[in-house]
Amino acid sequence: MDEAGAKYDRQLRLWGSHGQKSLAEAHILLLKAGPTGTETLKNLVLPGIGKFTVVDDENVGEADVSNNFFVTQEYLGKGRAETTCELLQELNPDVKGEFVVSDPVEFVTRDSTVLNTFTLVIATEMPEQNLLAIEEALLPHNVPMVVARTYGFIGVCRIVSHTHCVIESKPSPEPMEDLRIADPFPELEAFVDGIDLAAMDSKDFMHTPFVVVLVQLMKKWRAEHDNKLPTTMAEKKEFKELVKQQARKSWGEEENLLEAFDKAFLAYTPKEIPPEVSEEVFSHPYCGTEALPSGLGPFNMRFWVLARALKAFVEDQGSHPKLPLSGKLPDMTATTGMYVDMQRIYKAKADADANAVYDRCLGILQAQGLDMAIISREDVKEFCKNAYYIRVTQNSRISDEIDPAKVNKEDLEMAVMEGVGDSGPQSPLLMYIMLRACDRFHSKHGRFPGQNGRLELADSDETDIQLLLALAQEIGTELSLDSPLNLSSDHAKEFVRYAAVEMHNMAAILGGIASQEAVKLITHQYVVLSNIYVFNGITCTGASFAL
Amino acid sequence: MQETRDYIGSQSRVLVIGAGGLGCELLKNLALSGFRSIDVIDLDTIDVTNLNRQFLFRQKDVGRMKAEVAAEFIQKRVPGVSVTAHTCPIQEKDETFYRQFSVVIAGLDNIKARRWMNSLLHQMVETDDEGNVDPDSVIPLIDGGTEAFKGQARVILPMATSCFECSMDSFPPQVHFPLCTVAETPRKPDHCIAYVLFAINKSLSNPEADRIHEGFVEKFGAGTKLDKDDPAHMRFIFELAKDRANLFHIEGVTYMLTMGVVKNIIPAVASTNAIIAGACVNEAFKVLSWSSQSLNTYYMYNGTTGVYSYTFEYGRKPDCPVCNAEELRWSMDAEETLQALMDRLMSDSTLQLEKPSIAKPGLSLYIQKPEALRKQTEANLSKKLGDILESGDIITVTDPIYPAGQNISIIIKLD
Ligand SMILES: [Zn+2]
Repeated sequence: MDEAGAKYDRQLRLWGSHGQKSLAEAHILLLKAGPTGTETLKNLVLPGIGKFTVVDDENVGEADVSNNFFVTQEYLGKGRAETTCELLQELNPDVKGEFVVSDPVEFVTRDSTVLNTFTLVIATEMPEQNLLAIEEALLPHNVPMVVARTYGFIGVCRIVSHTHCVIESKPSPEPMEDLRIADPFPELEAFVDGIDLAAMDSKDFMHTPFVVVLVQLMKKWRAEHDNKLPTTMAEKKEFKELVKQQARKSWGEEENLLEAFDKAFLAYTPKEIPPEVSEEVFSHPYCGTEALPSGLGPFNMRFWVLARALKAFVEDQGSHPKLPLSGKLPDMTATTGMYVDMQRIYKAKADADANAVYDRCLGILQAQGLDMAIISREDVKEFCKNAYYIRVTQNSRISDEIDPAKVNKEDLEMAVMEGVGDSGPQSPLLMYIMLRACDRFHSKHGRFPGQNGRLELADSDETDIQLLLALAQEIGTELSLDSPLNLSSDHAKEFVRYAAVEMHNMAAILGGIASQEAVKLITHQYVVLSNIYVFNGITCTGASFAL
Repeated sequence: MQETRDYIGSQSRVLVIGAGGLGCELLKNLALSGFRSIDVIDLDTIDVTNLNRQFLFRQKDVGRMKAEVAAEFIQKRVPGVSVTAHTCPIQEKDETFYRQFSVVIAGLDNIKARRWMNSLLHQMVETDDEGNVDPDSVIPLIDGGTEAFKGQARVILPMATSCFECSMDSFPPQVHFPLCTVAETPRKPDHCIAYVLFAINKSLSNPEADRIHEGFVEKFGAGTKLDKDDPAHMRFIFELAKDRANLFHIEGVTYMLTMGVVKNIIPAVASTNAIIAGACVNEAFKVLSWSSQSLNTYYMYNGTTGVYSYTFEYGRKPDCPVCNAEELRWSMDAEETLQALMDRLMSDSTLQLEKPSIAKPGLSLYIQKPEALRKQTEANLSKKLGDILESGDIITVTDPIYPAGQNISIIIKLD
């Protein structure tokens, strides 16, 4: 293992060297270098992103020294962008850091051509109005954004991504491999037919893989049942009994038969193409026949060519189509020889499937006038290995979320319902509404409620409390929900007390959440948050909302 | 708000167990949240594989003690904070040491140390004649754990909430490769690696395995134990596993897989550690200020698919050997041997013992340590329970997994 391999070993076991490559090629733009921003970036510099750019226009003050780990006393008065850039870069010599002294919104909106150079934007310390402007600027460039924010004991993470492709969604627990027991391919059938169970001695018999046992029994079953698979409960039970009848010793002693009995359902349930692939990916506009938009970027371009090739591979099969075989064979009771032979058969079929997809890729690349070299045979193999787990996801726009006419009402209603009961007053949904009220307060008064430079609540804050509560109730009314939001002046009082303060510990939590989502977006592995996660530090509770 | 925290921080002395991925985060969060007096204990040295998340360490620190480097870094970065490093196993410190702290936060990756700490903090709880807990003797334990994109943070208030031991059955015992598969019908590259490992440890004996063992002795000297952190040892296993795999036409033995199988490596990333450590420090504040303490003290986070988290009350186990004083009740056949009782102790998934010793009042039945006592009591193993116990006798089981003084009482009913 080389040095870099050793340094990144613990994460390579999660996202592999191809995931690491995506990280190493990523250029991250951080907007605002407060504690939430630097904590997020820290967790991306450590695992080895390629490059980052910090944009901030403030100078280091006492508050930064007390809540930001990437700022120290010696830097008081210097630029926050420069300081944090220097101390963050020091974490990992593999990573290049840059900084720009500018107002973040101005930076993003001034010259939008620069946005193409970024893989991902992390926006922190942003009230709603600023986020809307940034979202608008990013949209034409298809650059995803992770919003991270802490406000007193409340934290919010939000993903904005127009169309996000996932090459490996890695569901957990890992689903059963497609072993084609119910519908064996010719090579597997020939292999199984060549095995004479009756002629075996008891030792060989108990080391015959369950796959062989099930394929043989199902062949027998179909011969006796009009070539049909068991469908009713009674038939399935009968088939399982058939498995049991194969025992030569007392039931349970032959482990291969136990495995066959446990997995008998595989023999009568052919693996279906998941709807996330057959519907969401295959019927996506990019999966049609039109030219792919050139602004997609190299990764998405490759993904959609591969997806189109996969779709063609499936459609060309006629009825009962299958996705390419992965070629992976799970461990099972077997002799070494029998297992290795079988593995070879599955592998050969997987290679043949991948080659068939590759041929279709070449056709598509040619028809689209694209460079034939952008997809290699190896790329196709990797893609086919995970064909069941490709996904395309879409996050809502912030402009839709805050529009009562466009917000996902169903999810909102559900969240309100869940937010009742003992934990009701502290429910993450109410915290979300309160935070929006704070933003509304900010756009009206040019400051956040309670932000007046004092350390303790003062009498004059009473006005802020009343104003804030009214704004929160206004938002509730606009949403015209079926059940009422139980907002009280206690909520308003708490948020006035927060006065938009960022506490290091809350920033660390949100930095963790935001960076994890960022890694998922950059590597195109795992499914990202849909759309908002709200964390309440008072009760240590959190919830995701698809608003 | 920050001021209240500063006050709590300055009044409390906190102990962080483990200066790894969680530990680095915990120390940073505590230092920037107003804690002025922090201790950290870790016996490990820095390895290059730590650098992707343990951000208080640099390449130049590899080989140095984690606790010392972490303490130095924090003190330099955050003036006014004092961090004391301890570089020994937690088991070497006694009650007087642990009594100095207002709260203990554990960021460990091994269950053994967490069980020991949990058990000791429970032992330290004092009760009056009427059985009322003396609150001054209660030291809260906050326990964080992570694996890949998942993690949990929980608060254990000894004798008030469930304890670490109550949830032992949620940690499945480590999966071991079946010996006969490894020896006779290997199919996976893992089986080939396990074979070499078993051969070196002499868990296997046949001409080929013996040859591997001899090769190991020849190369590294007689009496050398396998050192999983020695690259030369790891390379030896990798090369021989590859030979064995070739023999059986098995593909996929790599150095990375060899490390994974031999060291039982758990994937670890910076982001999850940040989330869980943050939640732990948040909870530390709550227990220290005794504010808004709800019973829902178990927070779990899972970012594998979307973001999912759940906060709940982990129920106390009525027969928990650590936080419940009641005896366990077991029925055994009088004809069964003491060995059968040992087997049952060893296979019990809620106890998950390592090397249990058994005694009854005034008599040692089977004591595993020291070796002299083991030899003396070994003969009892083949004796029938009916010959050495009366039905209703209480046996006392001790195990190195627990601190001295902690034992499990079981009433044995003989049928
Ligand atoms: Zn317990």
